[in-house]
Amino acid sequence: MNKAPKPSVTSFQYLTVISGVLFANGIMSLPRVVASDAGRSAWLVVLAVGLVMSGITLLADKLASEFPSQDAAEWPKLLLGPILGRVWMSVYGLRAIALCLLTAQLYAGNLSLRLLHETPTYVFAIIILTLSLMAVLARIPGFTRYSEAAFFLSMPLILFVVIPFTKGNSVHLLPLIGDKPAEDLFKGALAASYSYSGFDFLWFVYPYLQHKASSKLWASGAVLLATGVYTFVTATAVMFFGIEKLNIIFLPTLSILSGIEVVFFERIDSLMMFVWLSTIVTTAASQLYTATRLTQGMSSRLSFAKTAALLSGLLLIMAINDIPIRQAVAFSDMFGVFDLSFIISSLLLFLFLASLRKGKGGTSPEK
Amino acid sequence: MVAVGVDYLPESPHYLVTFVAPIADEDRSQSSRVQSFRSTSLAEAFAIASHADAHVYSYGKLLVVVFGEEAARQGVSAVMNDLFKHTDLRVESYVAVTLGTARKLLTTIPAEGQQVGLFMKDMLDRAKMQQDSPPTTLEIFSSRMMTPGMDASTTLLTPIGSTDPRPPEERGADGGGGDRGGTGQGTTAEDIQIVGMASWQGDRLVGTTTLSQQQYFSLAQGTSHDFLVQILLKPDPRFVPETSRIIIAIERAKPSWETQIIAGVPHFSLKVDTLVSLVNYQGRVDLTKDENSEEFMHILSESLKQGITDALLTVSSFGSDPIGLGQFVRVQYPTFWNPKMWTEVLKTATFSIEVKLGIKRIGIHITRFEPKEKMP
Repeated sequence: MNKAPKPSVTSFQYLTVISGVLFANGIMSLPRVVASDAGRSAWLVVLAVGLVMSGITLLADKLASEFPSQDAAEWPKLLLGPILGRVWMSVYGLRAIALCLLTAQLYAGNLSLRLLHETPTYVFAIIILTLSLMAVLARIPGFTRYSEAAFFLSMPLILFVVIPFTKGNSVHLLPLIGDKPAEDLFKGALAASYSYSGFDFLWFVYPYLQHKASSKLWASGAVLLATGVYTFVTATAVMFFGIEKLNIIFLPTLSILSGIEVVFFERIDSLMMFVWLSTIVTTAASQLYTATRLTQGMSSRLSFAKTAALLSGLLLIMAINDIPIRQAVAFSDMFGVFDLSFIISSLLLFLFLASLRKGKGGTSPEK
Repeated sequence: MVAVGVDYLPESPHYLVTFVAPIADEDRSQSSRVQSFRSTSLAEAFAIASHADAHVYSYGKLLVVVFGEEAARQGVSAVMNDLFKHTDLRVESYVAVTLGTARKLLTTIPAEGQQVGLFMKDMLDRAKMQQDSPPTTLEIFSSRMMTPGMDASTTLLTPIGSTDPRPPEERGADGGGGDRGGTGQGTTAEDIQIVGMASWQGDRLVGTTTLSQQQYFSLAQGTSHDFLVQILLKPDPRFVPETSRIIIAIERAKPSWETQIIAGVPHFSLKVDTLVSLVNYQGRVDLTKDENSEEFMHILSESLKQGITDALLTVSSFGSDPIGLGQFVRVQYPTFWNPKMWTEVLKTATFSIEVKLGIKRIGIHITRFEPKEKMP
């Protein structure tokens, strides 16, 4: 980015793209994953983690505000220097590529497991990656408009969870605290935090934001929205299934929806799986965009579109592999540990370095 | 598949699985309308049925799962596993137990030739609306099956009636009873009736109650609304001069439970706040007067109390906990709570019941119409 980008992203689009990146595959299995450690306190753990992540998002927004016209493909070189900065960007880029592929593979696996058993998973993965490339090529302004549409498409379906919530048994939520020891609650919190991964994409959207003064409100609002949805879904799952049955259901959020029968539609879960594709594309495309910009940040001579297409092609080749869903889930559990620790530690380091740089009065960007 | 029936037989292969599938019963003769397979599991029977018919069967349109009494007593977790393996399983299907065999129930041809799966769904839908019985679905059943301190209760059905004019000794096996090669010989029932409630402990049937007991149990459970209860009272020339039987409509029944552990034994106190209407009151007493109505309400509440106590003691003696009393103990007395021992502990539980009854409609404004002046 040699010149300041044109501010074209509205505050609401800022919210929809951040929350869209957070909502991915995690919501499908989140209640089981957290409840397996945190027990009946799972929904409280999800809520607490969300509040903490909302605070971390505020810090991420603050870091972005230190470089109002530059994204995370540029300011790491200013803060860490040209060599270390590029090393960091390489690791960050690899993380984005892995996340993009994982997102596509997990969704493809879930779709194959629940609905389309005979179709190889790579077919769906290829569809997601292709759609992601199209979203990325629309650049940030087009991509955020897409995320807004995806938001309105997907969010109403979550409201159907109200029906099983009213049919649930609140005794399953008791006691609120005390069911499990503190170390198990912490393990549950760690598992819950993986579902909040992706808020760092705001580092690439911030330069395009029209009203930067209120960015903190909208950024934290996006995470709080995700928190509300995650908490509600988790509480409903615990109330509806009971802890013992919840622990044996692979995708409890979908299972909750499968029991809802309305006059005009029989299988809400299958509708959700297809409509959720739009949100999955938001997540996968955000990581593809991240990887593209970081690669471009290595050398300013690289074309954005060609880099995006090249990376997308590599991912397509990697995706042509029928990976069993449980293998993908096991990998994502391991990856989640790295992902979270990398982002948070980087955030804290960069905030420190940015404050030092500010103190020294440094403002000129690298040529 | 619109209906699945599971029976258990003493000799191997133990399972007799009966499928009612629409494609099998369209305009075919009665004997081939329902298919039964001997197998070692439900999954095996499903595979055999699919292969034999060369159709792609699915549980996406399942309406009801019926367990024969013996199959239910053996434990049904294997069957539940085989059902839930199918991601398209319709989890809102009803679960019921039948006296006798599921095969006999599913070979019933209801009046007007309605398909038996639809017939049962309609019947259980009505029961759900009228709170006549606990029409438990697969989703609820499987959750309660898994949860300690909480058990399922399901509708108990039986086939009844026959238009077969032959004397019983000539009718052959009882509905083609499962071990006769499934040729449909014997009596064909014409109707299906709800006869009570089946109480489960985990995945096993442990006892059955009568319809009357099930109604009283519903009052304790808080699932009764707008159904009719028949009460037998002591002969009383004032309140029940013609007959000792009075029918009341339950307008509202709100239970509240308290739990205590006394000397290592759980004690449950239940207060039921009910509002009833009289359906066939023919007493000579003017119930608009407070002293009369209070006395009558006391008589009715004592009778309800007795019925509820009897129902609770009966169900708890099975070791079954459809109300979820174990969950109350788990929350309030976590150190006392032991999920593995709860079945045995429940059998020792004691109950004290209090019924507060109010009468909404007495059925008639004053006393009774009696044209005394015109008596010959």
